[in-house]
Amino acid sequence: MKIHYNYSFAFLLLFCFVNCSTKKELYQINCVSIENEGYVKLKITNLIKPLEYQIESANKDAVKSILYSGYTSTQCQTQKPILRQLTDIENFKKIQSNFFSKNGVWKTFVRNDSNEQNATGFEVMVNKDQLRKYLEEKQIIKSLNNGF
Amino acid sequence: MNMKLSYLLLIACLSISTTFFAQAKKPTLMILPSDNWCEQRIFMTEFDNQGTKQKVPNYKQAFQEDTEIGQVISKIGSLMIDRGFPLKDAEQELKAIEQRAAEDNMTASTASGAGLSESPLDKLKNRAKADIVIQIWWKVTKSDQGKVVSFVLEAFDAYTSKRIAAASGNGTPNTTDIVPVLLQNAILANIDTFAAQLQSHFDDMFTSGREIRLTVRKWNSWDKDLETEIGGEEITDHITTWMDTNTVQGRFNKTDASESIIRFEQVRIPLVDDKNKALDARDFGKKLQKHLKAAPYNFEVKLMTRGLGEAILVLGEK
Repeated sequence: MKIHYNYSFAFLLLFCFVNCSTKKELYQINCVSIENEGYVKLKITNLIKPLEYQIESANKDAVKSILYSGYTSTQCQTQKPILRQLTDIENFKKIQSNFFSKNGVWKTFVRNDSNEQNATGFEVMVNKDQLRKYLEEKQIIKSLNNGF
Repeated sequence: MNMKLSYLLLIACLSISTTFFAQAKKPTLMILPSDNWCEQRIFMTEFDNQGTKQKVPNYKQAFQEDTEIGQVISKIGSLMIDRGFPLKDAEQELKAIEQRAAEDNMTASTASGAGLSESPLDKLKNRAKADIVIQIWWKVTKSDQGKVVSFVLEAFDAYTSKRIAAASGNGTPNTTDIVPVLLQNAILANIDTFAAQLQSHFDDMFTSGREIRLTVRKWNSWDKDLETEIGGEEITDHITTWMDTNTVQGRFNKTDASESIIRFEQVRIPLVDDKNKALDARDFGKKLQKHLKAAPYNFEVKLMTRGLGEAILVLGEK
């Protein structure tokens, strides 16, 4: 009986791992241009399930890339993420679930010229400057004049 | 009793607030075109420096005649305002210096008609200053694929002449956009990296203090020198001990020490003093001056500053 329970537990654990691994997202970001008023135009492509990729997910991924990974392209050069320090990431974790919720603030920083996906993915405009200012106001990241 | 308690509470609140809200002096930033950019566009002035021909950038001419510099500075300026750092405008500063000089020349006392006193050193030092100087350089190259903008943005700490931030890059060949648009794109692509490096510099300043230079010299009329012993120790050693206790974590380099001069470099001074007053190179020099004026030394000390980040003390007389 005990052995039976152990097998069940091991099976559940394995199922959980498989499930978690399939949830992994893999998307490609390409910076198209840096626009006026602090906007950045990104092209997002989902590499795992491109046809099932929704515009909402693409927008969210665009904001995540600006926050966590940064991006590089010949047009935009190398742009580092907004959350550079470990403390920035730790601070952001406190508001992350609210920020990325269904009606979260993240939506105010995103704009789409078209809802349709073309062959290379969605084009998303993110207001990087406003996003940075918002995080500075919430004291998630330090502003340049902090301490002066 | 209640009154006493409320006074105590008020004093406690005030002391806490001054401790927490002590703020460092905000550095001033100014943008100037790089020497190489001025040379390329022939905005240079040549003068004879004791037999050697020397060229210096003519910023006034550059601001008046170049059509691109205004746009570039204005764009960088607006992006820096957005980050809470308004820039000192070099063009306006040059005008203000001329205006001040003209007004000073015309100022006279109503009683005796005396003019304002100005030493030759004061005249020499009367130039545009900023804590951090941002230099820009760009070049538009025409290739078969279109125009390419190469762009360099660098910030130098005027206190130490160290490069504290730099961003550079080449745009993609473009056949459609005009040069101002290409320049704007180059600035937008570089400004975040540049601001991040400035932030790192400020962070370092907050943890390790502001970096300055300090030089101690003596007048040749003084009857002592820096190797003269007081209380069994040389004056140089007394000054070094003072530096040990008054710099952040005792951080400084003594690059030169002789009987007539001591040069301290990479001196890290606290951003605020024990009274929470913002501290700069002159204030720090003033503290050492006070120390050397008091017993057992009782020296006469002249304090001078060079640029914004160097204090010079001359022992012997004022």
